[in-house]
Amino acid sequence: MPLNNNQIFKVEHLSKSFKKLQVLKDISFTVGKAKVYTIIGPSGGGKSTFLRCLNLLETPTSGIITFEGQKVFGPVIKGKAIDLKGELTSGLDGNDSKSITPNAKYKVLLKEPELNKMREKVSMVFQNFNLFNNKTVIENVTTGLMALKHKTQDQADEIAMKLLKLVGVEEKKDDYPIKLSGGQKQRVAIARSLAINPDVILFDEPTSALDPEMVKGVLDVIKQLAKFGMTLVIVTHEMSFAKDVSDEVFFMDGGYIVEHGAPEDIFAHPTQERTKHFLEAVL
Amino acid sequence: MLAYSLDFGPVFQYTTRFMWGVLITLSFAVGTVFFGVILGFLISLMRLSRNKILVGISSFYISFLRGTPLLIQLYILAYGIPMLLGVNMSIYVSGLIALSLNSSAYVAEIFRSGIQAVDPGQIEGARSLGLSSSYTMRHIVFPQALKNILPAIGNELVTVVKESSVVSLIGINDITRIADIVKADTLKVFEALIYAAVLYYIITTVLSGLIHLGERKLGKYAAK
Repeated sequence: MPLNNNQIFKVEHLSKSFKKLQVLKDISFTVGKAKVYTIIGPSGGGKSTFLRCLNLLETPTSGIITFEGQKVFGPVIKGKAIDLKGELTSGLDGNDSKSITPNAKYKVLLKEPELNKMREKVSMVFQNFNLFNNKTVIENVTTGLMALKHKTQDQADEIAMKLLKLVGVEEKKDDYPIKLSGGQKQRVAIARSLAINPDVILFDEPTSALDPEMVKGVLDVIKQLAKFGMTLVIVTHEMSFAKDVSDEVFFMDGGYIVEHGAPEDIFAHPTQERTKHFLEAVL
Repeated sequence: MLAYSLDFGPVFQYTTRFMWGVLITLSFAVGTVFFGVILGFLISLMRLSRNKILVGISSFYISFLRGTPLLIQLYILAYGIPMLLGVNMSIYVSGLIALSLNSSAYVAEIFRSGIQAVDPGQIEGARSLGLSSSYTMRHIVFPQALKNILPAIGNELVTVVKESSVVSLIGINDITRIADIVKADTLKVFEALIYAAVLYYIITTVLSGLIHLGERKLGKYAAK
């Protein structure tokens, strides 16, 4: 496979089942550098699961994930990762990768330290924030800097303060998360993600748990990141935001990517019935 | 009118011996919880590990010690084991071992449930940044679990103060055994028992108060 330096993720024929319920079916998806992707669609369509498969918080059932040129998840036969030499990539759309390589087991191809290294480059912002409850706002941001980037306390504090200013919560630096509003928590979570200087940030419905008046502020922070040229993959229900910020929009339903394309195409001229119905319902 | 008039006079003459009993009871309780916490922590780590054998061993250990009477466990340790192995063990040692093993099973469950009660989102937040599982455990999960664990261990201490009275049955001079001796010496059965009960009650009340104080200091980041 030619190494493409501008390619952050390449996902091929990914599927994921929880017991008998298949939530992702044959997903292929490419994430390019400095681009913004949004994933829209009805709840239960597999959007969040897909996002969680990207940083391997969820282990997919089959398929291939390549991150910055390195295969991080894929088929293994007899304990060895196998190269399918394009078999999977040559126009087999609609086929589940399992049927192509029936003997292969699919595994995470990274050991724990490598997996951790990868996650430093793929950070995630959650719907429920998941800030460290036992740490103050500034400690939430400095933890990664000190534990992973080996900064001193002073260096880490300095970087953290810059980031907290950027997202607009610097005056809360010594509070514990329990004292913050949802919008403030999400800003801190974004600062925490930025601190480890990732190559891509995954946003899992970042505004779904917020009070309505908090939503715009958080979306503005995300837009700012897009302007800086950060690579972002965003699962969202905020349609006008998706329209504004995206380079490419994916519509997911029933575990499939039903349709994808430039935001002006998807929102103005959707080609699939399901996309039309969904957009009619939400817009 | 009562058919019997209480007379604490003769029993009070044994106050010094009762105080020694208090000391013995307290040292057994503290020693038990000390060893119980160390052992219980290790057992809970086994119980929470991904290794099926370790999970099996620790599950059986916990269920056996919780599913059989403490008195039987004490007798087995004090009389059975020395006979079986042909060793001489002081009754203090076998009493402490029996209480510690028993307590460790309860403490292991305290640790396990305290750790499992921490929101899984905390782990995901840490792992998604690239923090290792051991770092996440030590710096994120465990400090939060401690908030659930410490008060429960305080309660375990209170429980052990009471349960330690079984060691009187193998001849250790704790509060309960002193009460027995005083009963026989003075024939003031009722008074001796009431005296012992009051001593236990004072100890457990003071300990509960201290735990409550500690709990309030612990609540700084979780003022829910």
